[in-house]
Amino acid sequence: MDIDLKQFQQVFIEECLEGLEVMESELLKLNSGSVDSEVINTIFRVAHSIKGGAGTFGFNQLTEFTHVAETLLDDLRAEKIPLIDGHINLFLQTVDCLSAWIQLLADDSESIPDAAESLKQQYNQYLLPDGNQDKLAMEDDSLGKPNPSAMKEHDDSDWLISFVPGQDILKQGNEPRLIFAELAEMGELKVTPKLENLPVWKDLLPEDIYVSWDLELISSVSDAQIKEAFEWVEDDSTIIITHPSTLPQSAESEAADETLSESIVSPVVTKKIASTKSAETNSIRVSIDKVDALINMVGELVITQAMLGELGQNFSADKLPALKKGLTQLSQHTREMQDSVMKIRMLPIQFAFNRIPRMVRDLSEQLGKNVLLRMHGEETELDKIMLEKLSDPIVHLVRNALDHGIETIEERKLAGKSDVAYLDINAFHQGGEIIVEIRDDGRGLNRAKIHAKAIEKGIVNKDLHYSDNQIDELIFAPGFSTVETVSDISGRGVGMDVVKRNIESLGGGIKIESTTGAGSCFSIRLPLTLSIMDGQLVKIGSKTYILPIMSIIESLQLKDGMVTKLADDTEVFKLRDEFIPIIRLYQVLNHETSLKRITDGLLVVVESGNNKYGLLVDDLAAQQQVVIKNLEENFMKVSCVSGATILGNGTVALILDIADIVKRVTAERYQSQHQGQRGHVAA
Amino acid sequence: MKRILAVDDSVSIREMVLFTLKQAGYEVDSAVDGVDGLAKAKSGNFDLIISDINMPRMDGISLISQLRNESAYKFTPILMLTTESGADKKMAGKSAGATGWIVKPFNPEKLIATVQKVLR
Repeated sequence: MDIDLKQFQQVFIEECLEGLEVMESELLKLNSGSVDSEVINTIFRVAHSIKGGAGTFGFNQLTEFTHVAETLLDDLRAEKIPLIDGHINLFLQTVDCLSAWIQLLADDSESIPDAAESLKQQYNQYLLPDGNQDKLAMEDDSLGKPNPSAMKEHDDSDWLISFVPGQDILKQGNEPRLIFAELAEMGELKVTPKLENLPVWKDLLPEDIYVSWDLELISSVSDAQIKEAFEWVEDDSTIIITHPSTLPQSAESEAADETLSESIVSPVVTKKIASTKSAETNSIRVSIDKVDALINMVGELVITQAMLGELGQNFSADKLPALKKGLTQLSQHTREMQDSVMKIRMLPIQFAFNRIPRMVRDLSEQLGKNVLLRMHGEETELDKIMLEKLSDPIVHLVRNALDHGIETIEERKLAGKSDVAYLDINAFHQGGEIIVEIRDDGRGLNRAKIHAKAIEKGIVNKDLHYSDNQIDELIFAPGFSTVETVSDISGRGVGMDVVKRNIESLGGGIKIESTTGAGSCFSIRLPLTLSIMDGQLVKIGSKTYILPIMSIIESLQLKDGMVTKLADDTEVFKLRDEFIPIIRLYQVLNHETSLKRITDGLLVVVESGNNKYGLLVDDLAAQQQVVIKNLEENFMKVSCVSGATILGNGTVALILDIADIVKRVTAERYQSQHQGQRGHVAA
Repeated sequence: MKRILAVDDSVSIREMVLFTLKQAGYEVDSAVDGVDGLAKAKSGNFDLIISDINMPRMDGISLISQLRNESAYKFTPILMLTTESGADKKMAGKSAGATGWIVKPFNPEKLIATVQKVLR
């Protein structure tokens, strides 16, 4: 039979990558000195699986490399040597090296990462000098074929075999008839049973074996081939193979000689799979539950469709209630199915988190800081696309927290804090959104420095007063960086403004809260999914627009006297304790309005950035889920609009981009204000 | 048709074993670790069980001794898949009641040849 092993290599590669992730996260749980045997076991199993699979699928150098790692792990597992920090570092480097290696295999390359050789040498330093360096079966030159001398063809000759089976080989599932059948295939076999060991009736155990045999085999095979037939019983049994021309040989005496069974290994498979890179980025692993739920839904949908189809064939007015019922069912099923489909795209946020523990470990070591990382809510699910784009911003924020936020051990001591700094990363749901928090208990933002820097960079006006929160927000301003020299850890040309922009491009936002001396917390807010959202339909003049419900805080009607005009012509109103600027949407969008007075319309209070704004609309219409169509792809980028959707009646409605509207209005006001100021100066 | 249960925590090895044995005309089911393997073995009637040694939750050695306590599997052939070149794992398997072993790495031909040894 010809079976192509290539087809399993892709599975093997995916399996290795998954295993390496497990290995890394388990390694980070290890501390030198205290060895949790379950953790070591798990790590061992990963190395072991990679080694086994690599051998089976023909990646021999990979087998050799993982073999040394496995050997050290086995020694640690058996507590032959104590675990030290050097081991953990070596294993972590091994994970990196193996990941690179597997990637090379996936790309159909036969090259080996440079680090492999030096890592191997490091392993050999740690390994016990003897016993454990047992030669791999893979390295044997006589791959796939038994020892040539054992293979030597004899002429047909008369082999005599005395076989006294171990008493309980039947209970191991070894049946003498199977051994005889195998021997019978080698030549002519004569079997003579001997009953001399049969005990008296009362001592006879029905499941044990008391018969022994004298066998006569006329065949050209070697004694090694005969021994192989007895391979599984030779330890328990007495087997004496005699050849007329050779001295009697006892199989027992050679039980320790394992080379024969070891050398029977697969021939080398050198073919590699086709490039898999694109498959990796485009494929998605979906749990079977989700697929089952979807199939279930489709089933329901088919039934409903059949029912409606039947109704439609001979419809009469008295069937109207049934029709209505059917339509309700249809819409319910469609919605459930939509949910199921969306869920397929959802992955646990763990995927964006899994680089973090390693990074925190490496960085805190490098910076001489003692940091304890605590992560919660890794299982929170998020749209795959968002997850991919979220990874970099999170990494950046964590780097920042480690580099700038958290103090060195000495500084913490001076400040009267514990040596160990806490870095908490939490993910959770909050009102239809996902929140990711990155919180440290470090020194907090240095507001005086930020303010000074912002003035120096011309980002803010030095005469104006800024609240603490507004100063904190300045770190997100383009071109802002408080560190004089760009350090190795953070600030590799990517600033916080990029982080903010990336998150906003996902339809989310980022906020910062900071307390001097007690730490900072960055919280990222994200919609659950990109392509469908809950929308509030609003009327502006005769046109219908959509606002994301996610950003709406409340809607209200203004009364006379609630609106105040500021010096720069900004209209504000007081909502409880806050003054909120009003944006007249019809002005921004250049539409006619049906409103005669501001009190005729409705004010939709929204949040953008960290601020609230009141958007003036003519009227509110229905709320509905809308499927977002990208305008840029289908038309061009339109300012103040984030996309479009098709409403139930077939018309197209634009989805308003609140952040963009705010930006535009603020820019216009700033401009007119500056012109005004210049006017003053001129006067 | 002879029925075989393959127990291995590695999905690639499992798929390879499954595919190879199906090609060879056997009816094959698979399990992901010892616990799963024991449950599947109890609910089905298998003529041969092939099991890996190193697995999470329940390893191959414990699986074999548990199976030998089941009257249905008292004499059923059980083969272990092992990469261990040392004799100690083989001995541990034998004393737990394993029939024999298939040394990893193995190729499909070797697998079928070994299976045919016990399923005649």
